[in-house]
Amino acid sequence: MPYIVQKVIGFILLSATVGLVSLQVLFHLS
Amino acid sequence: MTKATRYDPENQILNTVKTGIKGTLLFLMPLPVLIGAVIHLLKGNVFSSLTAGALFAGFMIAAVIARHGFKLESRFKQKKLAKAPGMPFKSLAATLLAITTGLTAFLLSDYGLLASILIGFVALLGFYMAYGVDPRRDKTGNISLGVSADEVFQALEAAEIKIATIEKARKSIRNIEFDQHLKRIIEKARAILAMIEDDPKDLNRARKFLKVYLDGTARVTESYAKTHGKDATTEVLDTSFQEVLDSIESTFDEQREKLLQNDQLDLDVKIEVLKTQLKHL
Repeated sequence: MPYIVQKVIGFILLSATVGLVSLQVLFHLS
Repeated sequence: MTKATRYDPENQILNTVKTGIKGTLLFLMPLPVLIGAVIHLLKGNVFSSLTAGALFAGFMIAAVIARHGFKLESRFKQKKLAKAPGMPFKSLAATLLAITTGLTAFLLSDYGLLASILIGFVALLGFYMAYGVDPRRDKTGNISLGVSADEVFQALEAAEIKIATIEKARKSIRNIEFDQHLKRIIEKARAILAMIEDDPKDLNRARKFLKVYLDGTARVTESYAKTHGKDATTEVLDTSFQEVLDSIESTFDEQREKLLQNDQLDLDVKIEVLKTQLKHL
């Protein structure tokens, strides 16, 4: 897999987990 | 309150490494958890607020460890010869981030146990894909017989720490002439280190330079900077410091020449060997 594709997928996975989970903390409150 | 800072030359070197915005995302993404902690507190849910606060702290610690790992990695990549970082900081950060993400999902976002574990694993995978793994293998370049890799690493590391000491002292001496002079000396010292990195065999020939001259320069500059800081310098001291700097610079030039000449000698020997081989063909 090309390095750049791997990096992009990595950032998507990170945002989809860490980012979304922490946003859900807020949604969960309302 | 004293203004004194802890003497930590290794960290001084690391602080000069620039990693740009790498890792900023790790600090930004968990911000909603902090906002959540504040809202919980305002609503009077002390326990939830404390949980969110602790998880936010977990995210921040992971981000700080990751930044440290990125700095070590970037310094490792810059050098031709380097020892791999002893502690895998990136892996440590990835693991902490994965555990914290999983716990946040389970405790604050109502995910089930299995789903939370899965989220943690995906975060771990994402981290490794985005930032890569820690460098594990030493970069030994063309270290050959006569010097061991550890010897070269240690000598270069010690020399860099001494250069950092000179650099720090230079910054505290507010005299343009000395500042320029010290800058030149530092550049020349770095050039000699680069030559050793290119050809570690040079280490044996440069040992005296690394041990005696560089050490002496660091000591003299540091003590001059201290006196300068107390505004206790005299004209006589300034003149003799100027003379010392002159002789240091010429010694550094000589050392560089010596290394270059020896390379020439090596080349001559190689050419002679080649000539002999060609004759016997």
